[in-house]
Amino acid sequence: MSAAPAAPTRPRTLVVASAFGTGSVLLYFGGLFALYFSIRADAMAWGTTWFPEGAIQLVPGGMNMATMALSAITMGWAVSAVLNDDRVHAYLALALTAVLGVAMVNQTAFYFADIGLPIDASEAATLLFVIVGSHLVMVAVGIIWLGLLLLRALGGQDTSRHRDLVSAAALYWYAVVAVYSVIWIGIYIAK
Amino acid sequence: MLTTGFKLWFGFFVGAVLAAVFAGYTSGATETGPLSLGWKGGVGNHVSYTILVMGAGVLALLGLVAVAFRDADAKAQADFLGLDEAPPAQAVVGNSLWPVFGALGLGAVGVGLVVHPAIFVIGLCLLGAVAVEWTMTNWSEKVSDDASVNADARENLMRPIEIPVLAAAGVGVLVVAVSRILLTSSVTGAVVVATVIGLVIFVLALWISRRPELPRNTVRGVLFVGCLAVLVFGIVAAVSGEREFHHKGGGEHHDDTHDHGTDH
Amino acid sequence: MTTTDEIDSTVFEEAVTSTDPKVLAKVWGFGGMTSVLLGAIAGLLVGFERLDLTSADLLGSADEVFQFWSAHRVALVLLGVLPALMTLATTVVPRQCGANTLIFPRAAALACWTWLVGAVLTIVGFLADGGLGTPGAGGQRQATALTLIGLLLAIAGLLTATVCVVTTIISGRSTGTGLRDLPFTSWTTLVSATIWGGMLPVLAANIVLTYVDLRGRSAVRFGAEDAIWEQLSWMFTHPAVYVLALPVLGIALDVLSATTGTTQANRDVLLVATAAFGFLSFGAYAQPFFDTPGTPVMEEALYVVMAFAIVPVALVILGGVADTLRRGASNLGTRPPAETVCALLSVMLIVAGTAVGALRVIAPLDLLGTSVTGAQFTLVVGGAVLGVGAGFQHWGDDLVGGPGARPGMNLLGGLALAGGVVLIGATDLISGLLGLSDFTGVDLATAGYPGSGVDGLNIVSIVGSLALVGGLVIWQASGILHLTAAKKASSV
Repeated sequence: MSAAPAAPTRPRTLVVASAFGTGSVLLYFGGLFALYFSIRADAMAWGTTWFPEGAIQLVPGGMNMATMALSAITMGWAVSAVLNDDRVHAYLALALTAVLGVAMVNQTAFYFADIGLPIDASEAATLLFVIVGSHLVMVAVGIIWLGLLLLRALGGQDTSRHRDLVSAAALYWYAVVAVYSVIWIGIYIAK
Repeated sequence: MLTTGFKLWFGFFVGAVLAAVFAGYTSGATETGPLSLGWKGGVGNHVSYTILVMGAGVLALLGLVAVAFRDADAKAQADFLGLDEAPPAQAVVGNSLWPVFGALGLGAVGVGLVVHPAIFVIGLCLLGAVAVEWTMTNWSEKVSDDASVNADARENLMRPIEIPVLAAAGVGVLVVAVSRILLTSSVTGAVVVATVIGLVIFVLALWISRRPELPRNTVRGVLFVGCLAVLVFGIVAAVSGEREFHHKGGGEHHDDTHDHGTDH
Repeated sequence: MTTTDEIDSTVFEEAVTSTDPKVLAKVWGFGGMTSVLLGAIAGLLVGFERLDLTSADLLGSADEVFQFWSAHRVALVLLGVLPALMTLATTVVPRQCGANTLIFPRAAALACWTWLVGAVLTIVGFLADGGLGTPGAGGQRQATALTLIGLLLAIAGLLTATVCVVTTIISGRSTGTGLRDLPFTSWTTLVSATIWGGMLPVLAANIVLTYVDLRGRSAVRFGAEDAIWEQLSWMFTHPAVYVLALPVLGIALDVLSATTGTTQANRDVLLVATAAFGFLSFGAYAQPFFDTPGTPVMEEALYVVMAFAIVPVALVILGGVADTLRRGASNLGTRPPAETVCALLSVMLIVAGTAVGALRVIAPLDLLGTSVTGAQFTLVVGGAVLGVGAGFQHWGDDLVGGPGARPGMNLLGGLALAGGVVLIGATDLISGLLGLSDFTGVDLATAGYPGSGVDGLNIVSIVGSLALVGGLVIWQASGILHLTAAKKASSV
């Protein structure tokens, strides 16, 4: 390994790509939320039941929101650690963020198995499953991304000069949390 | 200084916000609904309003990224790296198997969703493998400025993982294929098939071992044709379904035939 | 295992493992233009069926006619023009920006193959009696599901490629090239990519919702076969189709500027006008399927205002084109190059399309559900195809890698294509004004215009469709000949 270090590459490219990719994901959810709110408003205007009584509970949704909020903080910690060339803290923060993501997936899966609402019970149920299911996929993609990031971090390539990988993942993860906030407010709280 | 990118996306952001508010008030919004994201009053047409507001949010994000990175101009990037000149936009990368395998994985996931869960799982496994390989390829390209050193670094790291995993997967596929063939044949037929396959493998192996001068391509070809034959017969057998199984005693007849070809 | 360049690769291995944008551009280009041709043939078959609206003589049933009719639009937009535009976006745009190549070439390769897999699945889905639902719910549900999955993959591929292109434009520029200094093709691609990145995910959301409901025990609403097309149709009508036209306007401005040897005057005005054109083509908000009863989105103020606002914007761009021509006409000589003619015609068709779009939303005329929608689609998408062709001709030697262009064939194909688009567009416009429905079905009641099955307009439309298909075949042949000649030259 006596070869010279790799030539520098252009910074920002990953973050720019992540901003556009994340923007597209946000618009995907924008489309789903638009349909959800529109059909819900119609149902409310006609006085029909949207979700059956007790199907949507605030506590699991709130717990998930708290988990996601914590993961946003740990993600910020990872970015800060990489910025300060603190590799141990970077590993810890990335792993913790991924674990919080897994916890959120686990809580959601348990909750949906528990309420036993069939996906084809109503338009509301179908929309709920599609929105929450899509968000679970978004979280899963984020967890895999963090896992791959950890692999590269272990190879020592995330430093303050090459922090794009972590910054790009962080941008995506914040969007994961932002989308969940809308789900929490628009579905779990507003029901 | 406001950059061109910021002006473009921030301009779009302002346009989207105005369009959302306009759409709201001209489609039945009440009070300050369109101005307060529906907090006080209705927003009118929910589909138009929500999509335009979400679009505005994304455009604001793009505008902020543009202004924060000074449009990611080459000069700004060079300044960030402390260099006189920005590096090339993209380092040259060689041919790669991962994109096409990634696309096949995505295709398998999609087809599996429609046709059969097994294909879906195969697609997911393929995507997982591609993700890891792709990541390690990218990692190795940053090890040094010498492509051969980078390739060695990757090989040293990944070969000990790739070879056992590929071997296990290959053996697993062959075992499943042979088991399908045996389960489709009659009881006596299964014995005959197993004996014939065993004999063929034994004789071929003996023949090859006696001829060390055989070109490698010939050996490869023989192995490839053999594996392909087992796979094809395995798939045909799986589609045909298993034979009927009769349990001893009790006179109970239990038919566990699975006709994979028709019942999905 | 990492790369295949360590060992001797076959031509096939070289092709499927390549990350060279020029190699992948051939997949985008030929794949896209083949889809355009297939879409035009589907349109031709529907046109033949329209000659006698009392029964389905050619395609069997109203449902099958609908499948071909919807396949025509899907093939042209998602499988045709957008991928064809990617050819130029992944090769010409990086060079215009001063980048050494496209950023994230491996991701771009993934995008290309994913789109191709998706396109194949979509076509298989349509051919297997699926498609995007049918009015009589007579299609195969599993094939419909396959079509939806194919479209999702195609969208995923297009979006990934879009991210690579946008990143190249933003982060890959050479020193001294600001975003404001970009040539028009790159600038309009940047604006379009912003809009694609916003609209395609919303379409994907519609498709996912439809798919999930379709795969349920019985569709609640979204996956009902007679409701699928209506949920996705916004992507194939005003204003969303304009986003196909925007990069073509940029291509036309660059091609005309290059062939006339003049620099574009009033550059900043055109930058703003093209950006405004992009903004006005954002159509994801206008989803008629989810209308609240009594307030159809297509009759709401925003929709109408945007339909009218885009006309003067398009005229400003046409003014820029005309000004360039005026100043550089003397440099063109007596026989202007094929790409100049095609580029000019494409801009004129697009401007005509915007005018028809404005006409369509005038409430007293009641044209929203009529074939005026089809006329606008044909004019805008036809203009886009013509513009893409102009780009291929202009940058053909760079794309294919050598001499061998066939200007005569290109001009002939372009003129046939433009003539076909004008004939189809004009007849659809007149038929629409007479009351013919956008989807005519196979009976006079659905067609909405009792005389439509027998009048001469449909025959003229068929002639237009034949010219369109003929033009596209000539272009395909020209492209293949160019490629063959270039290969021969490189091997010598």
